[in-house]
Amino acid sequence: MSDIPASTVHPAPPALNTRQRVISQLLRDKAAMAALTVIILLVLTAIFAPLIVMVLGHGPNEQFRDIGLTPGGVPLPPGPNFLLGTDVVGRDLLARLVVGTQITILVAVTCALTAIAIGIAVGMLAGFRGGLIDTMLSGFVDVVLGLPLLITAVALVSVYGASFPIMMGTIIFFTWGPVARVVRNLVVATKEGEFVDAARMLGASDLRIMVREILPNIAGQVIVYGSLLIPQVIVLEASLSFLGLGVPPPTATWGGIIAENQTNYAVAWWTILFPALFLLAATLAFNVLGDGLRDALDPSSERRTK
Amino acid sequence: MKSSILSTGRLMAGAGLVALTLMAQSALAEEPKAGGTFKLVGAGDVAGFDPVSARSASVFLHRALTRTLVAFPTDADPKVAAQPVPDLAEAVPTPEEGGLVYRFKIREGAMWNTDAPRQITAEDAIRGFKRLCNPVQPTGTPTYYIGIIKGFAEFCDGFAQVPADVESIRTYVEDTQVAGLTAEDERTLKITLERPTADFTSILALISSAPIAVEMLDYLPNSPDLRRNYVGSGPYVIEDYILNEQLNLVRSPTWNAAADPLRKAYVDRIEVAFGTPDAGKTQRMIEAGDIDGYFDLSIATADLTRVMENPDDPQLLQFADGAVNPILVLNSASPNNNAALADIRVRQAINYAVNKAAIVQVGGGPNVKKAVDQILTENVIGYEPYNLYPTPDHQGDPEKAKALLAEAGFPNGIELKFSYASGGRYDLYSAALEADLAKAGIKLIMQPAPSRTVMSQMYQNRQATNGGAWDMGMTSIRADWVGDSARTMIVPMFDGEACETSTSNWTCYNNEDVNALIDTALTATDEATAAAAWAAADKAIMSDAPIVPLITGKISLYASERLRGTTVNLLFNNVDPTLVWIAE
Repeated sequence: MSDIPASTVHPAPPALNTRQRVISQLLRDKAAMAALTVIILLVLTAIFAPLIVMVLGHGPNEQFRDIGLTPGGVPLPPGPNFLLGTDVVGRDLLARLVVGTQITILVAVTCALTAIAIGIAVGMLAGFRGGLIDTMLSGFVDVVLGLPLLITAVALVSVYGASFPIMMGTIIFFTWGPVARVVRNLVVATKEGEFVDAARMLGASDLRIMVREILPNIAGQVIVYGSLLIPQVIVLEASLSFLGLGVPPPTATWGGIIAENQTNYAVAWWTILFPALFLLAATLAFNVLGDGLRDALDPSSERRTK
Repeated sequence: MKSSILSTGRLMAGAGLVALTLMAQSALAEEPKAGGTFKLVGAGDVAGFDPVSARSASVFLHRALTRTLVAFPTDADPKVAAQPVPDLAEAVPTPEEGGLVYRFKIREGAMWNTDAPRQITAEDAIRGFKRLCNPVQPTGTPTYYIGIIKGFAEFCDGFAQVPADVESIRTYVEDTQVAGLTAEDERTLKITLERPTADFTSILALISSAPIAVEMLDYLPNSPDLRRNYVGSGPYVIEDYILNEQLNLVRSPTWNAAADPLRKAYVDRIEVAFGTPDAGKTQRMIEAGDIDGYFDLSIATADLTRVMENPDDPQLLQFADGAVNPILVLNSASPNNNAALADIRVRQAINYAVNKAAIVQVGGGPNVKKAVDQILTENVIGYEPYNLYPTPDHQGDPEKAKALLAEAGFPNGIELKFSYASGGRYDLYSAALEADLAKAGIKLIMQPAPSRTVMSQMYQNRQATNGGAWDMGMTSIRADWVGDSARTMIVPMFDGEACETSTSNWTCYNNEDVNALIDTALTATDEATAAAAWAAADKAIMSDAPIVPLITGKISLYASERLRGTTVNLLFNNVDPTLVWIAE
């Protein structure tokens, strides 16, 4: 019998697999959880946007120039009729922000996923094959990253006009490059692993090695990068819309709402403040969640949640 | 006691009355005084400083630097302001030989600002005209003189072949004659026209008609060197000119006040600092007394809303901008919707469908904007108010529009591609139009794009226009000067005879009746005939409904508390820098 009292013996904690460890880590990260809550709220707002607009009773493009605008064209502040006030042509700002959330989330998720998919494909091919293919693909990525975003966007809009597909295409074109570069570097480091040699000796094809052996090993970093890419896409979409290079009016977008109302900011602060807050909340939330994910996925990270 | 209170009250009332009287007398007795510095800030440097290409803010500067034979006076009454008065010339000449000949005698004692003061001569005046069509700075300005001054078209054709260097330009200008420009003696200029031109005196009052000193031929037109070495004729000269930063004018030592009936030159210095593109910041600087006024901007909407709370504020300067802005241009050449816009009923339907009251409201309200129904504006000769497409309170008549569309074969409405320059108020106007036209079954496909793109890729691109890349456009019609300026509002966009080469008649609008009325107005020998022809042309054009005039507005400026003599000159839409004075 041992001299140690039974009450002081701690049973060994059950072994956690990686997924459980990451989830557990995330759940203990208060900032990440708060960010996740904001993101869920934004996603719910986007999903239920038509319902919210119906409850508000004001369409996002409906103009209330009689009750939502002074005779001198000044928007009305937040009040019982319009909870977040009206915009420069007498539209319900809340209704437009809700619909704008839908557009933003749609653009952010679609563009980020597409950019990540392209980036993974190009980066894996370049990193795994190496040699001439790597040189050519990496060179192409360098060219893409060297192009000036706004000038290219203006040129595209000049030729084809502002439209949803042009805006999405522009965002994807300018965001897949960094993903490809990150993935390529990860693959170069990973493909020397013994498990890759083992798979090759067992007769696995290059495609199988890339998809079944390497991809799962770099997935964590790619997920982190993807979560950080979303706020970049959101800001990019808002910037393009602000400059009139995004979704054509009257469709509401956060950047477009800020652009439409910028001349009246001194007399109608709400027309700038609320869309800016939505933008801030979304970008901050995705960034904080991305940080949390990185901490949770990276066992060597020093910034661990206690 | 009561009596004492009453007497005290009476005493105080009396004292107040005396004080008020003294204050009023003091205000009335406020005489202009010389001295001080008139300070302004501008968004950017002067785009076209050279008189050959000067516009708006640059013309404002030239009021202080450069004199013309005749000039538009600075007067609060638009009718007076629209009548050119003598400047360098001793008198506004009466046209001779059936309106074909104008003789000007230049005032004795009117000098160039050269180191050795020199009389301004008739040869200098001729040189000014000749430089207009130089190959370095091609502008639309020569169109005011080509076909009007005898031999000017041939002179310009030859000039276009000259190499764009100083020596070649100097040689061509000094050695080539224009048949219609003759120096009869040192100070007498004879101008012979190809045809009578009713508004020729107004054209001569533009800064582009200014005499030019021979020294100006030492520099390329509008070059930085020319700006730094500018030889003017006005009461001020350039002291410093740092491109994109600062322009300082000081009083000219050679200016002869006795030979200048228009300028007083009260202030010692005029300083313009460039690089403040924010009108809100400029407004705050004016209100704080740091500067005295706007150079190339006007009050921002947000500030105007606040300032307009006291519409009697003496520092607020408001005046009609003389423009119809915006108008909708209907592309009758578009094949879209089975060439719907070629049908006058569809164009009329759009004229009925628009809610101009809404455009007024989102444009700042009735204090600063007004609905219009025609091309010519109030201060232009030929303006006769009418409305061919009236709707209740200018709020549009969707039912009438729908009926016209149904009559034209579009009972279910139509879709129109609406191309417009994004940014600023055009976005708001477009949003209001989109909502209101929808009520009449006219769905707009919004095609916003940067201003230059819309102009070059859409409106001015014949292939895009005829191919239906756009159905409806948005632009403005602006008079280049006040008074006899209907030419500048009607000819560029509606003269069908020149439509193939015009950069403003995008849809090649061509109506023989309108063309004939334009010819009548341009060649009239008296103002009444010209005015009647312009009024008839205005109405004839609107009968075809190729455009939808929407609103006209006021320009709002603000002057510092210490600035006096702030009457606005309607040529350059700002205070007259040679008449303002500082009260401190």
